[in-house]
Order: sequence, then C-alpha cells, then structure tokens
Amino acid sequence: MRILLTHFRFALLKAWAEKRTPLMRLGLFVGITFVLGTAFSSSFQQEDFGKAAVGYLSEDAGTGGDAYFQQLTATPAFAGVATFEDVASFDEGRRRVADGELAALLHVTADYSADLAAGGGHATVHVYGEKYSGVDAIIVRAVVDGFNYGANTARAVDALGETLPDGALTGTALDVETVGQTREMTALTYYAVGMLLFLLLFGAEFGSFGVSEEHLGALASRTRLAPQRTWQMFTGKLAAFSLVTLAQGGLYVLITGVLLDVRWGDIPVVMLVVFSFGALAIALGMTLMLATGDMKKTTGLIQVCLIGFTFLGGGFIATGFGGAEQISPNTYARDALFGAIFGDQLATTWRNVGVLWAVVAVLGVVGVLMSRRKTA
Amino acid sequence: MIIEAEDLRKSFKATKAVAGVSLAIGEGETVGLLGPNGAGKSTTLNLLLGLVTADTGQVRILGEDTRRLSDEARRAIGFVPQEYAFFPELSGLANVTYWARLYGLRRRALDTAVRDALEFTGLWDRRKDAAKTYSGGMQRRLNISCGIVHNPKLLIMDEPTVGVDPQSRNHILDSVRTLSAGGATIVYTSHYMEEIQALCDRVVIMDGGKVVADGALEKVIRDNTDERVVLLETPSPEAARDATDQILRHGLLAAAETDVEGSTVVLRLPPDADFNDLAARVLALGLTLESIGERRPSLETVFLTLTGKKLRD
Repeated sequence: MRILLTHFRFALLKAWAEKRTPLMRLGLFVGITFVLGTAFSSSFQQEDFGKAAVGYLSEDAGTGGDAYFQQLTATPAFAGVATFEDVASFDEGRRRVADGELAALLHVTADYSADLAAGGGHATVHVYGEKYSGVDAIIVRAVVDGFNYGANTARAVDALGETLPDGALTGTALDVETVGQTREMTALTYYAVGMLLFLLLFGAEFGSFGVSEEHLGALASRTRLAPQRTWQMFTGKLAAFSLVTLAQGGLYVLITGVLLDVRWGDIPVVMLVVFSFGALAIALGMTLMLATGDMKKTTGLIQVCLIGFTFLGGGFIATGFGGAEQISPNTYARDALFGAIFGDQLATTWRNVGVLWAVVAVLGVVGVLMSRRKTA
Repeated sequence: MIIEAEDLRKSFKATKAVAGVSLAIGEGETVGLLGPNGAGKSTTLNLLLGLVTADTGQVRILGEDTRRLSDEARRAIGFVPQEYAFFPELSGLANVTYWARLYGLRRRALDTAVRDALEFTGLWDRRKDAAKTYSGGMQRRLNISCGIVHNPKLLIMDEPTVGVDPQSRNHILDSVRTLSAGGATIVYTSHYMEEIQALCDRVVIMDGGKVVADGALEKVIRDNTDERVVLLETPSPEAARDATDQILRHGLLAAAETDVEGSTVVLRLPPDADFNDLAARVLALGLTLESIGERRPSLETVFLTLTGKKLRD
C-alpha cells in the first residue's frame, strides 16, 4: 500500500510540475466548444414551427396496424402539427430518418394485432427518431402519446360495458416505445459534452507518458530493480492521473457553465462520469504503452483512439453510425452524461458508469499481464 | 559471495553479446569492468542484475537467483545507470525521496537517508531546485544520490562520470572511495582507465563478449604486458633529441623503439633486453642526463594489448 501511495503522490507531484500543457489544452477546448456550439446551433434549433414529417409503416399480419395508422392520420388535431407519409420499408424509413427527411418513423410489427387481441396484452408502436432532434422529436412523441392515450381510454370505456376479466384496466393496451430522444438539446450542451470527453480522452497521453518513463529508458532498469510490483505502480499512477483528469474536467464544467452558460444538471453525477471516463482514458494509455513497449507506436494508437472514439461517439457530428458507435467508450460516457444532465435516464448513467469501470478493470489486467510478458 | 555468475551467454539475433562469462565477486570488493564498445559490458551488467534473461547460465546475488530476487535482496542492490534515471521536472529532494520511499524508508530514517545522500554528492544546497536546472555534473551526482539513498550493500555503477567536469568527476570518485571504504561492494564500469586504476582493487577486462583478464589490478597489469619503458630525463628538448640521435647511431635500440616527449627520451625495451645492461651502455655514451628510470606499464597499455588498437563502433 505504501508503494502504491508513493506512486500516487509522486505522479500528482509530476502532474503539478507539468500543469501548463493540460491547462492550455483546457482553454483550447473551451474555445472549441464555443465555436462548435455557435456554428451548429441551427442544427439543434427549430427555426420555424412547421409540421413535423412523420413516416409510418405497418407490417402487421392482421388489420390492427393499418387501422391504427388510418385513425392516427385521420385525426384532425394532429394534422396541424404533423404530416404523415407511408414508407415502403423499414430500412427506407430509417434511412430517411437518418437523413433528416423524416422527424420520426412509426413502426408496427407483424405481431401487433395478435398482441392486442391477447387477453390483457400490450401492443407496441415503435417510434424511431433522429437522436437529439429537439422540437420535432417532442412533437412526434406528443402526437403518438396523445393518440394512444385517447385510444386506450376509448377502448377502456368501450370495454366497461362488457364483462371484463380482472385486471383489464391495469395497463394500457397501446404502448409506445420511443427510440428518439425528447430532450431539449442545444448545440452548446451537445458539444460541451462531446468536447469534454475528447479532452478527457487526452488523459491517455498522461497514462502512456506516466508509464513510459518508468518502463522504457534509464528509469526502467532502476524501477524494475526496486522492491515493488507492477500493479502497485499501475494502480497508484492510475488513481493519481484520474484525479488530475477529474480536476481538468471539473474546471471545464465550471468554465463552460459560467462563461458559456452550459447547463450541467446533476454536477456530482456528472463528476462521477468524468472521473470514470478519465480513469478509462488513463488506463487505455498505460495499457497501450505496456503492450507495445514503444512510445511512437503508442502515440500513434492513442491518436487513432482519440479521433476514432470521439467521432463514433458523436463528438464531432451529432449522428449515429448504425451501431458502430457502441464500440466507442465515448458513446457510453456521453449517454451517461446526458442522463445526468437531463436527469431523465439515470439508470442508463449508472449502467454506463459500470461499463466504463469494467473496461478500466480489463485494461488494468491486460496491462499488468503485458508488462510481465515484456519483462520476462 | 555477493555475486556469482556461471557461464553466462546471451545473444541478440545473430550477435553474441555475452559468450560465456563467469564471475565471482566477494563482499567489499571494488571491481572495475572494462572493455571497448560492444565488448558486452552493459549486457553483462544487465544479466547480473536480472534485467535481461540469459540464454544459458545463472546469476546469484546474495545467494538468490536474480530472476526471482526477494524484496530483501532488492533492497541490498543499488544501481547507477549511465543514463539519468530520475524525473527532471521534480526537485533533487523529491527525486531522492521517491527512491528512498520505494526502497521502504519511512519517517526519520527517510529524512536522514535523503539528507545524507544529497550531502554526500554535494547537492543539499540545491535540493529544492528542479533536476532539469542542474548542470551535467550535478545531474550525474543526483543520479548517484538516487542509487545510494537506501545504503545498498552492492552498488553497480555504469559509467557514472561520462561527460562531467573535472570537479564533479573528482567528487564522484571521492564518493565511490568513501562508499568502498564503508564496506560496500562496488562494480564500476568506465572508459577512463585512470578511474579504474584509482578506484578498483580488481579489474575485469572484457572483449568479444568474453572475460579476457580478471584479477587484482597489479597482477593483471603484470601478467598481461611485457612492455618496459626507460625514461631518460634531459635538461632540454634539444638535449633529448641529441641523446636519441646518439642512441640510434650507436645501435642501442631501433628507431621504432625510441621517442621524444619534451625533454624526456622514451625507450621501449624489447622483451629480451636487460634494463641494467641498457642503462650502463647509455651512461657510457656520456649523455647529459638529469635522471634515468623505468616507467611501469599502465592499465591502458594492458587494455590495448588485450583488446587491440583497432577502432570499435
């Protein structure tokens, strides 16, 4: 434990002695956030409150799906806020949503009628929306929720005249599963999160440099002769550098909150996510260094990770990548942060924080094993 | 024995870096390890310390296999590598404290050891300055402080005086003498023969990955060269040149066996020549001489005899 604390303490001392670079980078990222948040603000704002274009597709084996859409599209109250359009296939609908032609795709699957007919059963209308599409997403959600509410009420009232089995009114017969977000996202909030994660991911450089100086070169021989274990060095430095990235992230949150008026929501939870993602970045850099044993290769790989993970995690462009974004830790951290900022999906936040720490643990084990292999 | 190495061999691809080195170093010895570039000195040091795994052979330090050294054995070893092994952005004090802590020193023992190590190398007054602001000589001395702060029984120093000014070199050499007098076992590599001659009571000369000479300094010199040099001190350079002409004219020695260094005539005796006989014949020439004497062969001569004069990479 004392050895671990020694590494922790001296890693902090070294970070303090070299504080200029992280502080300059912090300033740079605040500036980039301002530029991106300003430049892309129109993408997140509803310039005119015209009708939202909504696609719909029924693949129901029965008639329930078609009936649902007939009633929905014929409801005069909704015609003022949305235009409805039948799409030929699910793939076409998703593509048009992704391209921004449609605000959302309403989809009914083959089992819809069967589910509805089953005693006390649920039938689900799936709503696929462009993530973070702001007002349009809210309109679609309101339309579908409103219609379902009405339909469920009518069905319940109708059923009251009959002999109902126990529990028939305990749930709604029509349900909606929304994939799109209904958060009022601003460009500044979106890019503040993206750039925060980009900034934290630079912690991988901290990690790799921190390990390289004691794993390569003259310090390596003296370090390897000392009565200590690799895991003690790894853990001590990981903790110290994670604390440094936490401080860096905290300053970023403070500065963007004060200067750019970014709303960070639940700050303690945001800081937990920042700490977790910072630890992951540090562990990534350390493991790459221990695995390659080569500073040049490590730096190259870190650059690839920095750009690749940030891109896939939507840090540069607010869009999805057909599932590929799931391989980027930025995606998990981003969703965790949004959960904390908007306070509506804390379950996602906790789950993703768990994912981040699981990755840290795996990286730690791999790093220590790689280090042993190299020194054997 | 502090170090016992048996038939160490190590190759890097097609290159045999160490080709059968055996060494036994006893407690309190100060051993100089010499060799031209590429002789296998550094690889041997790394093998001794367990930093590189031998292809064959075994090394034991304090009776333990270096591949599985206990923490106790590790605490008994100090290493001063040729390159600077400290954190340049931290102060001298922080650097020495870091290594002291890693070696398990705590509280008062830590403070005392750190102070001693910094005073020992003359860095106490600059202890709070960042190491990167130190001169080359001071950085070399800090490198030593970091290696000795835990008061090791065995100290291995790899060219600790490379690139330092004469003052720092003297200080480092004095430090090594003090450590040696304190009972530490020291293995010291250097390109400077005079350092080895001044510090070590035993010398190991390596070439081509093998030990080509090993023994007490005097014995190695005596056993490995038959060079004998006679020095004739004359009053002036002109007198020295005149004396040389006379020696050559009378056929006492060949031209290749004579030289003039200022006012001194240097005569290299052939292996079968007798010093007294030559001295008598020189005196019989009636030369103006201030003194006549014999110069003992140096370690450098032995080194060049054993390893050749061909330039190395």
